[in-house]
Amino acid sequence: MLQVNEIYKEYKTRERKGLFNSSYRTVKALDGVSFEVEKGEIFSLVGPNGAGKTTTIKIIATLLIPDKGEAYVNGYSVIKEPKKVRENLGIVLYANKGFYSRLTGIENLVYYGRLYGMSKQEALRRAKELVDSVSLGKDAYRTVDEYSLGMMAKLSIAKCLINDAPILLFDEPTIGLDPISARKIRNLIKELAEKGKTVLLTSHNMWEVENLSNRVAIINKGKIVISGSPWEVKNKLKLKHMIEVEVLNDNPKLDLDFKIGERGFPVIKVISEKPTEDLLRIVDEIRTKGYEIGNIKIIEPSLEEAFAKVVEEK
Amino acid sequence: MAGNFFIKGIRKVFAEFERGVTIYVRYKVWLISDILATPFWVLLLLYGILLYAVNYVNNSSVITSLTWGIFLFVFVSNFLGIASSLVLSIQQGILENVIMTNSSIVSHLVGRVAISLIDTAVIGSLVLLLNTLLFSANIFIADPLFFVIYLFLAILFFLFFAGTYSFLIINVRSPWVANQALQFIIPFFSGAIPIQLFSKGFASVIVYSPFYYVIGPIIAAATGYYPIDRVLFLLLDILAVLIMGIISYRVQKIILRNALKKGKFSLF
Amino acid sequence: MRVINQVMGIVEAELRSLLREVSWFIGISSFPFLFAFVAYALGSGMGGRPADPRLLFYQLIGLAMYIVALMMTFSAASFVREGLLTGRLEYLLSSPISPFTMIFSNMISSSLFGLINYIIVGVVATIIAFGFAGILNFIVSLLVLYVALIPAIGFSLIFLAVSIIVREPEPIANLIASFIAVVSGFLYPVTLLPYVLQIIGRALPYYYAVEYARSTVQGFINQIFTMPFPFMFFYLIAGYLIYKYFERAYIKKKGTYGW
Ligand SMILES: Nc1ncnc2c1ncn2[C@@H]1O[C@H](COP(=O)(O)OP(=O)(O)O)[C@@H](O)[C@H]1O
Ligand SMILES: [Mg+2]
Repeated sequence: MLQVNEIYKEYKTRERKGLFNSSYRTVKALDGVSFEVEKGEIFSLVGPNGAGKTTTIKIIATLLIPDKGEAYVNGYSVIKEPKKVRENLGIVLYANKGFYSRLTGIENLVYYGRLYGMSKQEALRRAKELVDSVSLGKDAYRTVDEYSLGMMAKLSIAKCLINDAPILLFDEPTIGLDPISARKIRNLIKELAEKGKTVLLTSHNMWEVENLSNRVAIINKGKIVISGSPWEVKNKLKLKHMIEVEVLNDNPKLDLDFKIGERGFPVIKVISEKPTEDLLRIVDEIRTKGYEIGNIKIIEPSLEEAFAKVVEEK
Repeated sequence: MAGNFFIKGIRKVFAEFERGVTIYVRYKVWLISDILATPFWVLLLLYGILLYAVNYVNNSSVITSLTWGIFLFVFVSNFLGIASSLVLSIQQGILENVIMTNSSIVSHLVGRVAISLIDTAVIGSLVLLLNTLLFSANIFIADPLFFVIYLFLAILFFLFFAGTYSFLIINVRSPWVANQALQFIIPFFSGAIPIQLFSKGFASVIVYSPFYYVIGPIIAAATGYYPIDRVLFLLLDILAVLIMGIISYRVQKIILRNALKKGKFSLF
Repeated sequence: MRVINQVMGIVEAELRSLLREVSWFIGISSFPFLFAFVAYALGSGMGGRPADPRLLFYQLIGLAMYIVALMMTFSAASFVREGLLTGRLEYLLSSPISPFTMIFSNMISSSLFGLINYIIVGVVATIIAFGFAGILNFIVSLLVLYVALIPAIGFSLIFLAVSIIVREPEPIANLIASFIAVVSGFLYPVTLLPYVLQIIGRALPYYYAVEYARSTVQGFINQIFTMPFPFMFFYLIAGYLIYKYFERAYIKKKGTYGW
C-alpha cells in the first residue's frame, strides 16, 4: 500500500549571526529511509524532535520532493504521479492549524470537501457524518477561533477523512493534547485501521505508539535505527525484564540479594534477559529453604526504554 | 472525463468564492467601521490633493475625475490585499491542505478576490455616492458597456498580478509594507487621475506604464474622455491581461517547484 | 526609585521588540513620504509646473504628527490588548507594578518610537522647505508637539477603558483614526472643511498640537499656546475620571482585566 525506498533529503538553511552576517549550511534531514506499510496496518514512525518524521510524511504527501529515492502510494510514484498520490491520501499535517478561524468546523470541512470535487450537498452530508464519528458534536457549529486543541485535533482528523482515502497520514496527531483527548484520538485511529484504512503515524510518545501500532520504526537523525512490531523491537534490543519476588519472612537466609520492600518484607529484585527461567530458579530456591512467597512481579520492558536506548546510544 | 474535470473545477471555484464571502460577512464590525470611516478617508484624500489646487474645489469636472481616481485607489488597494492573503494561508497551514486536494493556487486566490470584489463594490459605490452628494461630482457613466468590459479585464489583470506579486513577497515578514507602497504607486502610474488634468510632459510619462492600459480605459469609459480610440484601448488592455496571465503562470510554477524542493515557499 | 526602574524595564523591553520589527518601522516611516510625494506629484501635474515645496512640507510633517498622535491615542490600549490576548498581562499584573506605571511606560516607549519617526520625516520635510536653517525651529517643535499632545492622553485612557470592555476594539480605533485625520488639519488647513467639521476639529486637542508644532517650524513661535488650548486639559482630567470609573465598575468587579 505504502512503500518508501531509500529516500534522502537535505535542507539548506541560513544561519544568522548578529544582524547582517549569515552563512549557508546543509541539514541532513533524511539519510536513506525505507519502510513499507501494509493495508489495514498502523505503522508508527517514532523519534525525537528533528529526527525527520515530518519530512518523511511530507515527501509521501508530495509536498516535498526527495533528493534521492522514491516512494509509492497505492502503487503511484510520489514524484511522477503526484496527482494520483494525493487522491489516495488523507492527511493531518498539523493538529493545531489548517483551518479558517472565522468559519465553523463544519464550514471548514465542507470547504475542503468541495475542493475535493464534491457538490455542496455531498460535502455537507459527509461533513456531518464525520463530525459525529470524531465526536465533535455541537462544537462543529462554532467558529474555529474558539476551538481548544482537542477540538482542533478532532477537526483535523475529520478533514483527513473527508475524501475517504484509503491511506491516512497523521503527523503527531495527539501533540499538546490532554491524556483523555489523546486517548479518544487514538481510539479513533484504531477504529479507522479496523475498517481497513492504512495508517502511517508519527509521534514522539512511545507509550502511545506501543499500544496503537502493529509495527513501529524508530527514526533518529534521518535514519531508521530499528523497526518491527513493538514486541520485536524490544526483543531485538535485548531489553531486560525486571523480576521482583517478595518473601514473607523478616530475615530469610538466602543466597540471593534482597532489599526491604514497600510492605516491609524483603524483596528480591533481579534484572533478567530470560525472565521465565530466572523466576523459576528464584522460586525454587525460596521454596526449598521453606519460606513463603508473597507478591511476584515481572515488569516488561517498555518501548520507551527501547527508544531511550536507541536514541542515547547514537 | 473532461466534463467531470470541468465540473470539479467549477465546484472548487465556487467553494473558494463562498468561503471568501462568508468570512467577509463574519467580520461585521469591521465592515461597519469601514463603511462609516469611508466618508472621512474620502474627504482626507480629496482635500489632501486639493491643497495643491484650491481653486478646483468647486470645479465639478475636476472633482468627478478625482472621484474616479479614489474609486480606483480603493479597487487597487483592495486587490493588493489578495497578495497578503496567500502569505496568511501559508502561515495558517491552509495552503498545503489545499494543494493536497489537487487545486491550483490561482483558484485558491479566488476566495480573497471575492472579498476584494464585494469590498470594492460596497466602499467604491459609497465613494461615488458621497462625492455626488457632497461635491456634486457627476458620476454618470458615459460608456457603460465598455466600462463593464474594462472593469472585468482589470479584475482579471489584478488577479494575475496579485498571484504573481504574492509569490514575490512570500518571504517578506510584513507584506503590508510592500502593499502600502504599491497602493499609492500603482494608481499614480496608471492614470487613475485622468491624464487630461495633467500637463503634457507629465501625461507622456504615464503612457509607458503597463497599468495605464488597465486602469486608464476604466476612467475613460466613465468620463467619456478617451485619449486613445476605445477599441485600440480594449486591444491593448487584453494584451496586458494576457501578458500578466503568462507571467503569473510561470512564476507560480517556479515558486511551487522551489517549495517542493526546499520545503518552503520562496523565489530564491 | 522603584517606579522609575519598573518604567525603564518596560520601556526597554517594548522598544527592543518594536525596533526588532525593522520592516514595520520602515512601513510606518515610509507612509508620510508615499502619500505626500504622490500628492505633490499630482499637484505639480495638475498645475503644469513644480508645486510649492512648502505644501510638500506641510503634508509631510502633518502626516508624521498624525502618526505620533495615533501612537499616543492607541498604544496603551493595544499594549493592554496584546497583553490580554497573549496572557502576558496577567504576569505583569501579578508583579508589584501598578497598572498606571505599566501604561505610562508603554506610552513613553511608543512615543519614543513615534518621535524617531517624526524626526526622520520632519528633518527631511524641513530641509526641503526651509533648508538647514529650519532645523533649529524643528527641534523646538518637538517640544511643542509633545506638550500640546498631553491632553490627548485623556483620549488614550478613554480608549483603553473601551478596549478592555469591547471584544473587538480595532474597528473602533479604525473609525476614530479616520475621523481625527480629517478634522485636525494634518494634511490641509481645517478652513477648507465644511463648517461643522471645522468646529469639531477645533474642539479636539490634536488640532492645536498640529498647528502649534507646524507653526513653530515655520517660525511663527509667537502664535502658539493661545486661548483655547488650556481648555484642552479638560480632556486629560475627563479621560482619567472615565478610566477610573470603568476600572472600578468593570475591571474590579470581574476581578480581572478582560472580557
Ligand atoms: N524547511 C526547512 N528548512 C530547513 N531545515 C528544515 C526544514 N524543515 C525541517 N528542517 C530540518 O530538518 C530536520 C528534520 O525535521 P523534521 O522532519 O521536521 O523533524 P521531526 O518532524 O521529526 O521533528 C530538522 O533538523 C529540521 O530542523
Ligand atoms: Mg515534526
